[in-house]
Amino acid sequence: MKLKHLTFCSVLTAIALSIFIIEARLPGLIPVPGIKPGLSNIVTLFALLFLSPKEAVCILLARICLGTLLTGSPLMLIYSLSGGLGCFAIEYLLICRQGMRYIWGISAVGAMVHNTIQILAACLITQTISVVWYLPILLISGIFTGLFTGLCIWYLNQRYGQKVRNWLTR
Amino acid sequence: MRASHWILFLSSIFLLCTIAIGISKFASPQSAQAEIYQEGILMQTIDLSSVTEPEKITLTSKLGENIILIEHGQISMYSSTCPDQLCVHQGIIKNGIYPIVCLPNQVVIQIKSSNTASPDAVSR
Repeated sequence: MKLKHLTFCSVLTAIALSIFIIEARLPGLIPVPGIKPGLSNIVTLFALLFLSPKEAVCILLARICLGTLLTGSPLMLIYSLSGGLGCFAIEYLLICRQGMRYIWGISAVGAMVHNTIQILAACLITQTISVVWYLPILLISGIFTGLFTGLCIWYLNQRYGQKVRNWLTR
Repeated sequence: MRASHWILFLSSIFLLCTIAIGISKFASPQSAQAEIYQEGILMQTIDLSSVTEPEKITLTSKLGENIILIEHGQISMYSSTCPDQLCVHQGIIKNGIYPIVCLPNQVVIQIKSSNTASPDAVSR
């Protein structure tokens, strides 16, 4: 890994971590466990598009581990980790197949996968099936938050995509 | 895949979820039995209709402490040591299919979903 990439990765991790922590401190709009904007996923998507998948996974893992260390209880690590990795896997597969033209759709699917995995994890951990009733609410929120993060990346790419690529290869 | 496919796919999921939420409003159990689970184990079953005076139950585990407030016909999370406090903000549940969930402390409160009416429920 080049030194430039390494420093860029650490800056991205710092950005993602700050977004993650601010988000965790904000009170939820709806009192449903698991609903949040998921804005730190913008950074993961950014790394996936402009850097390599390997670097994106590193940023994701560092953000989740440090984030739960700073905000949540150890149990939240399981939810964040399972959801985050599942979301990353599906986004990576879709970007490989389709490129980034419909990044908003890919991001929305990623957010929905994230929510589904978290609900399944919650079912397994709390051993109660009735938690599944939250899934439709979470999926709807996932569509909108995913669309938002996807559109953020889309606009970013439109305006500064070429600049960032030039800077990284220089 | 084209843009229209994506929009169709996302909006169909949106529609399905809306229908599922609608169903969940009707599928509410008509029962006054509340069940409290901690780490997946049923700790207590309370008949909310027989509660006359408000009462607090304290659940302690290695993950944290939750205080549950029981009143006549309703139950709520009074306080919790979890960082996000979502379970407290969920407020009171009387009936309905949505449980109160405290993910960090692994506590779930739900209204018993026995739709097959027991003899007790009929005679009440």
